[in-house]
Amino acid sequence: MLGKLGLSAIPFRDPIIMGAFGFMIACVLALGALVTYRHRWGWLWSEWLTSVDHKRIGVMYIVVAIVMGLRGFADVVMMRSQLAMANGAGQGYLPPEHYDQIFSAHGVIMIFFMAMPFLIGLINIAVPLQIGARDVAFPFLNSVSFWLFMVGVVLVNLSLAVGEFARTGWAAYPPLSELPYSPGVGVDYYIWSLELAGIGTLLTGINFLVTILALRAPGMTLMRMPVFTWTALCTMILVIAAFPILTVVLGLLALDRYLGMHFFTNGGGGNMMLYVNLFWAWGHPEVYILVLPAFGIFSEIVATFSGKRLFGYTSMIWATVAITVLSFVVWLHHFFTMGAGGDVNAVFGITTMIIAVPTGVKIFNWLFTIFRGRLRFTTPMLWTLGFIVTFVFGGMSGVMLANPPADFVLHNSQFLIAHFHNTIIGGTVFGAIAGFTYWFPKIAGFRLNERLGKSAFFCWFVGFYLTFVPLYILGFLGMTRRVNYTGNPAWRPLLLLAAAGVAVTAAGVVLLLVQLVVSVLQRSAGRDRSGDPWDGRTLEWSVPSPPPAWNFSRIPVVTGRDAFWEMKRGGTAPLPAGTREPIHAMRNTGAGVFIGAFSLVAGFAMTWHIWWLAVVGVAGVIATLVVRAADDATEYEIPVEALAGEDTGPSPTRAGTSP
Amino acid sequence: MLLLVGCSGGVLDPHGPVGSEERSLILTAAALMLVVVVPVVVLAIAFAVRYRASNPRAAYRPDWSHSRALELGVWVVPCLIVGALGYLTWTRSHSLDPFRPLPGGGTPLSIQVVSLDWKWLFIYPGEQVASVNEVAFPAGTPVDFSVTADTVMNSFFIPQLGSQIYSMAGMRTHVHLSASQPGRYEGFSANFSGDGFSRMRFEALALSPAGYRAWLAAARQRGRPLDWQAYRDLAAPSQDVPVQYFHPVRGGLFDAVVSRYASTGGRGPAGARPQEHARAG
Repeated sequence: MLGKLGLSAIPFRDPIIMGAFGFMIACVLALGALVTYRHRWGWLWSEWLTSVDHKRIGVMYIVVAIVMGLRGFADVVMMRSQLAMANGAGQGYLPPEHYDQIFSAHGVIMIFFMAMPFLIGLINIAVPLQIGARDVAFPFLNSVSFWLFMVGVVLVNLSLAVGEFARTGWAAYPPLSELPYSPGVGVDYYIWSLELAGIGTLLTGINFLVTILALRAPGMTLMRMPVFTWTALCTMILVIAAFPILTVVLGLLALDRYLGMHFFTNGGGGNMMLYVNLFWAWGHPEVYILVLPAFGIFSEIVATFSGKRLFGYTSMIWATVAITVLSFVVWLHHFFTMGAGGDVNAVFGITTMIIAVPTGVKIFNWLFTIFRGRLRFTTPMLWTLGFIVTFVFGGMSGVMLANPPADFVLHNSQFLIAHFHNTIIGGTVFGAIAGFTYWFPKIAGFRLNERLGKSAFFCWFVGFYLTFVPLYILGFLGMTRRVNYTGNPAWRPLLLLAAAGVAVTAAGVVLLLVQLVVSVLQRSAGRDRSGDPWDGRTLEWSVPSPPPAWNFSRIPVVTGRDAFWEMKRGGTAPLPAGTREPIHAMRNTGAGVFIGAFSLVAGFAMTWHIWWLAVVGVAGVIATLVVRAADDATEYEIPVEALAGEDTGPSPTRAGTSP
Repeated sequence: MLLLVGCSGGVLDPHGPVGSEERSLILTAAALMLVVVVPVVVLAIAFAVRYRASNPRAAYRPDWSHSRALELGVWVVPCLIVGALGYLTWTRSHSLDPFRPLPGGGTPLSIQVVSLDWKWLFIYPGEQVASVNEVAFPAGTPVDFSVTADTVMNSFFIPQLGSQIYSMAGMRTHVHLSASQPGRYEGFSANFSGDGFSRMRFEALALSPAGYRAWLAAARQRGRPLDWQAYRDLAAPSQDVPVQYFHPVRGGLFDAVVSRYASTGGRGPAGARPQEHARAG
């Protein structure tokens, strides 16, 4: 009846796990109590959970990403404290079966449930506004994407207390992830959370590709698009081309585990390297899915705060396109040590290095944007400068690893760990926080506290180097990854230094949270009534903060790059004259929530082999889709009168002013 | 920092020709890239300071966004560096291919390596000797390690000697290594393989010719027989395994392990099914 599920699935005797899960439950209950006390359930449901507004969906993505980031960071604290203790005679406090789940969950959470949703949230918020659109092409699909992503989030968190998570590392290489070696439900949680969340990501990819190609304001040609929109476009192409590979490869792994097939097994004709190839054929484009939007964010910020056009726009776009294409022909560099011959290894090593060229071009273009600019040291700009200085070292270590013979001694070492954290933290995380700070006033109507933001930046910056410089050195010393114990007492100072770095970074994390709370409490101090707090250059700053549900009362006509900057400077009307027309908008709908809920039931049931319940879940999804398809009243009309008074727009005189 | 790292037993402190070439490759690549990285860091700081909004003396050209010469430069300079690195990559990927016998070293000593849950089995095919978690060979002699797995994937790695290679069930990989001087070198698995992974370590002993002969003799003397059944017992999952020696060793053991998985429905000589020693959940 309940498949493999029973009371024994809950690790009552593990105080760490039960404490963590108890804390999570307590947070959820406290939140529920607060909403009940304030009588906000109706508001929460009708204004947020069922929303099809791209801005609100974006906000929800980011809220969840922040929460999951905290969970992933808790994993960091546990891992680094374990490694600081478990050296020489010390054994630490985390046995392998627990430690192995932590590093697997850390990777999965940070990539799929922190970095990607954070960037997708920012894309949701900014891209339709940047291209002068009223919403995305398929608003309901956007809601479905979000709720499918939430299914993955819930499954991963459930695995903490109900059963276990994968103990295989975030890539879940077979044969370790095959049934004989991982008989528990951990890998099944992994498979179903990523399968379902991955479908959501794929739908987002389609949605935004169509949005960017089809819904641009008149006059906004491709080569007039803001760079962030360009990077979002390339990211969506990567998503559409790469995510099906992940869906298929995890599906094949599921067939091995559930139906005894032999795609990747030891024996039976299986080949684990087939999985490894397919996984990285998705996995390397995924790296650029994580970093291209960050590049776009930095491009917007550096131009805005230098008060200057982006240097080499055309180069920038072609560099982005080059990275998009090249990201599909480098995957083998993740396993040079497989033993392919010199020809194969050299080709993939060289294609990998070629990516350094367009990336280098981007870095130089950002620098030359600052050159002869008038640079304002706001918080987003500090993150951008921190990124430029940090990321070049990540790129450098990456090119070192791209040399197959160098990789033969550095593969899977702490050097590799330091390298990809150098690029993902220095690139994606810095970019996400910079973008969050940059676009926050657009959504909230007030700015974040600058002083706290800058303190947070310095903690992160120092914490990053304190943590990862020791790991680069440990990699050279021969420390491999995923160990929960090191025998060499000479490494202890470095391990302690890395742990201290985590403590400093933790201070940065706390400061970011404090910044958010303080900024909300003192929101009148940071209030922005202009809609354009940074003296922005692109169309999102031409509408009020927060923007109305329909974004633009009249669709702007674009005549060049930096459309809003030109409008302000040229003294032209910020929005074109012309009659307003009633707007057709989509009603909020609970269908996305129900599709997510039924998918969660199906995913949980598949994980625990509760077949009848899986059928119920799938049937529920189909039924919801049918009901939704039969609904003829999905849209409503916003009358012209409602639009009046929303056209505040900026006055041309404000151009060139500093906040 | 490099000095600190260079004398403390890691990959920048190599004791063999393969590791030495890999270290020089790493250092050359790093130096080449610093040609770009150092100017970037310097320019980032210099530009940020010079063009700060509070500096009224700095030029401000809000529409300056294109310069043919600069853009040519930012494409060409990285291309040149990557070209140089690409040349190094092409030549070294071939000369340092782990499957390739070391140049000028004469006939290599052949040692077979099987990664098990969670220990390393080394088989000396010509000597009827095998050992667990300790491998010995004469310094100065090239060694051809043939590597396979009788469990999940691992990676066979002795950092101070150079290249690592994956061990995969049903497959046979090679890595040619040599120690230039006698010494004890740490080896381990560099690919996560489950609960016992952190302690899946072995010691590589590079000995004098006489020391190597003595090691073999001692292993013969102290060793237990390694027939198929003893091998099956050894292969069962175990952690933190002490050094063991075996003699005599069943002929063709390594090939038998490889062929268990190599073909569809592969079976060992004793009819052992591949899945039989599934780990306890």
